[in-house]
Amino acid sequence: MSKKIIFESSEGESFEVDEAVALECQTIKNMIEDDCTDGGIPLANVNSATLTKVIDYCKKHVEAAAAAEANAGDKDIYGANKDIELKTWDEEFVKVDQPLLFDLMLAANFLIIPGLLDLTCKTMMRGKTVLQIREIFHIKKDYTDAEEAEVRKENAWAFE
Amino acid sequence: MVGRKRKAKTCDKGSQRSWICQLPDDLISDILLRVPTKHAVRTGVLSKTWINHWKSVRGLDLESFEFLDMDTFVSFVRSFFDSHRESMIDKIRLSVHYSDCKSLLTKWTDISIRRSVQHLDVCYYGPYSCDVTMPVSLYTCKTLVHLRLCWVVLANLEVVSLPCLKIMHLEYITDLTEATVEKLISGSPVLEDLTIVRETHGERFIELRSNTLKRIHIDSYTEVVINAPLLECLKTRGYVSKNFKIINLGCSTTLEIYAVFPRLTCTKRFICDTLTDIPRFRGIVLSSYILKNIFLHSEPGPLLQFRDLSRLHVKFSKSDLEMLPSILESCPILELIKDPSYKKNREPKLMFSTVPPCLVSSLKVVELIRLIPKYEGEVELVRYFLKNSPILEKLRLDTYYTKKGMRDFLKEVVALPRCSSACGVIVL
Repeated sequence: MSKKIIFESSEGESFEVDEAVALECQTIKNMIEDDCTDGGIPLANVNSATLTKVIDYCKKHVEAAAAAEANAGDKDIYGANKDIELKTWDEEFVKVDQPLLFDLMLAANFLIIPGLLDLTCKTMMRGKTVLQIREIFHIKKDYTDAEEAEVRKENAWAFE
Repeated sequence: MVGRKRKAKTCDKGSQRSWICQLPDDLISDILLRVPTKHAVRTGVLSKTWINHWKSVRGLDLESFEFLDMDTFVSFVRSFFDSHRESMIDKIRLSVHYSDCKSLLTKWTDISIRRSVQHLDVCYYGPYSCDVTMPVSLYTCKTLVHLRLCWVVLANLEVVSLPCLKIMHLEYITDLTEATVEKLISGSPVLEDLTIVRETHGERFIELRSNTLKRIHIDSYTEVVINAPLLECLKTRGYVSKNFKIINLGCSTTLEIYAVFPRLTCTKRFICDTLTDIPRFRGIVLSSYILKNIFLHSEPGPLLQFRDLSRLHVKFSKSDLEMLPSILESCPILELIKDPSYKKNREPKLMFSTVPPCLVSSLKVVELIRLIPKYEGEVELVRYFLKNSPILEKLRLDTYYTKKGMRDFLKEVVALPRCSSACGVIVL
């Protein structure tokens, strides 16, 4: 049986995961290599809801990598479509409300999960106009009209 | 204990919290790195706290035509490199059409490499494209993971060492020789993805020899020779004659052929040449036009050469669905059929006279993506697979139905007789 790692969320809840899944997080990987994971890893800034999602993400990506490896031989019936399946899964995975998306991003940042960080960062702003960004993220405009015009003028090319 | 602090300040002291403003600056910069620079610059007008965020982004994603004139473009890029004199750069994508910028483009590429760039994408599409030379430092960049070069020259290429490079796109590289490609591939020990797009005429064939490549995409009029034992996918644009030759392949490679001008591509010669290679592949991805021509130019029936094929992905239009029985007849060991169907006018008539062998012995997964709305034969098609395949494991159906239509459709599907007890039907 594979070694288990225990995470503890900010609420004090314990989550047991396979070492392979925990290794997806660079931060945890370093701790495992330094052999300081006994008695669980307290993650003071990750709540249970976020941690559950993060573990889901890592599990899925470990499984996908393992399946790709196993299928490299003769049995593969999906081939290149696996990549597309994982991408679709990722897209669905980040369809969550804003606070959770931000928590996922922060968790990915400090646990160092490059794939999840990239995914959450991409989802945040891509394809949105300034007005949409202001509305979605509740950013209050504190410029006077004259100040805003000045900012626009400074890099006029970007606003054409 | 592992932990991190959230920024205390908020942008909006009103009723709703602004989550994004509480992010640490480096994360905001990570977000902005993933949008085009133009959009990042625009965030400067969001609020006063945002005025400088875009300036700390460690990358550029620019096209010169976004600027009204060359001077504005050059001074913007210069000020970026000036302000990042001390820091590393993650990503540079520069697409330039001003011919007076050619030497600058070489210089900027060199600076990016010296600042440890990971993702580099350089394209020159102005006049006289044959003299934008890439700096020698490029060939020994230790940090590069993703490289795309377009309309530039690779000169003075002697030592190549790209230890992290995974993805390489070489598009319209002037005088791309076999020696150049060989040096680049052998100097990239972890390369997985290679795209080669060449001008349509007058260039010599090249051989791609690699023990790491998983995906190759070629768009080349002249022949490309493939020697890649780990290859999973070969994607190629079809011209009037076959443009690839196989020496060595992975044991489960998929071949994808697409044609920009299918009517010109699908000559008898092209089809016959391609058919001789199909037994080396385990999967194929085709448009129904190409597949139709394969049937047209070869003997139909169980003798057709698809005997080793286990995966088939074809885009059918409605009228082409009539080919389905002959296809199944021709693929004795097919395990997966994926069929994104598209809407067309004529009602096809599916005539299955016998049960093809693959249905009895190997077909495990059928995915009918985007079933055609109001196509009367649809339920018949589903019934046919469910009734005749004893080992079917998964039948996936995509539908366009409204809620009520969906309910009726599901009722009908559930009532259909199933030959395989283990078959799961997934309706999306």
